[in-house]
Amino acid sequence: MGNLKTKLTLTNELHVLRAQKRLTQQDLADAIGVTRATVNALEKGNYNPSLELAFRLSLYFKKNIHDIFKVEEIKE
Amino acid sequence: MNKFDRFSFMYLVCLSPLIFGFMVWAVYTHLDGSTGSGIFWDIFGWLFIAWTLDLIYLVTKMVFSKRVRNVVMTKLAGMKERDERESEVAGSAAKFSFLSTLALLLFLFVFSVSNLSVTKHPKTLDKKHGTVQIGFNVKAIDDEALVHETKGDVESFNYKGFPLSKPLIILLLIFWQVGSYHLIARRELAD
Repeated sequence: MGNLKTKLTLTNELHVLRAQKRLTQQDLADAIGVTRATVNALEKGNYNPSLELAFRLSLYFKKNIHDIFKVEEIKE
Repeated sequence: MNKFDRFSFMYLVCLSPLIFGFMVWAVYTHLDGSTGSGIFWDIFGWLFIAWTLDLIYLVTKMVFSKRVRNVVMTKLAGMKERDERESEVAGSAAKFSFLSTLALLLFLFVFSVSNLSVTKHPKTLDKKHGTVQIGFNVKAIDDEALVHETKGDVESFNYKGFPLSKPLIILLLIFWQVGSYHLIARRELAD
């Protein structure tokens, strides 16, 4: 296991998953109870969701959190 | 907010353009200092009195009622917290606003208590051409804010703004900002 104090960054597959379901950002936003701007920020990687929102996405897409969000280690 | 507060807020907001319009119009039509008379002025006068009392009621209520403050000030400030990301953004913006306001208050406090006096003498006095005095002046009460006058049989009491001095108001705001922050932060961290 690497140094856990290094800064981690999250990437996600939301854009792909949303496209597979043929959803607009607004559709997904309405389904998980956030604004369209937040879905956009999530897809662009500009915002890391709370654990609750991550679970809501996981439940909505019926996938594990690790299948939606990937962790990249950043060297300091 | 209860129905009365909602009505008060709507009355204040809806009547504001009308009140300001009339005030501008009244100033321009009575530049000679004369006062208007007639039914129109009576109605405007009563509306203006009600509007002013409503304003005083709402600003006082906002200080003491968290619920009214949250509703009114959120609308006034244009704060949006529709989801967790907007709440986070509101938090960052509030932090910036809090710290910059605190810095500005400290700046205003220092400049409101500072005194600087530069005097230049026409002739050399004790081998000096002039004097420079720097000091601080902290006064708690503004003597000109509350004036009680008696001219013959006429007795008048005038309120011309908050009776506390500018430095004391600024100092109270600084203490309130820092104190309220620590109070809420400690309460949240204790949970």
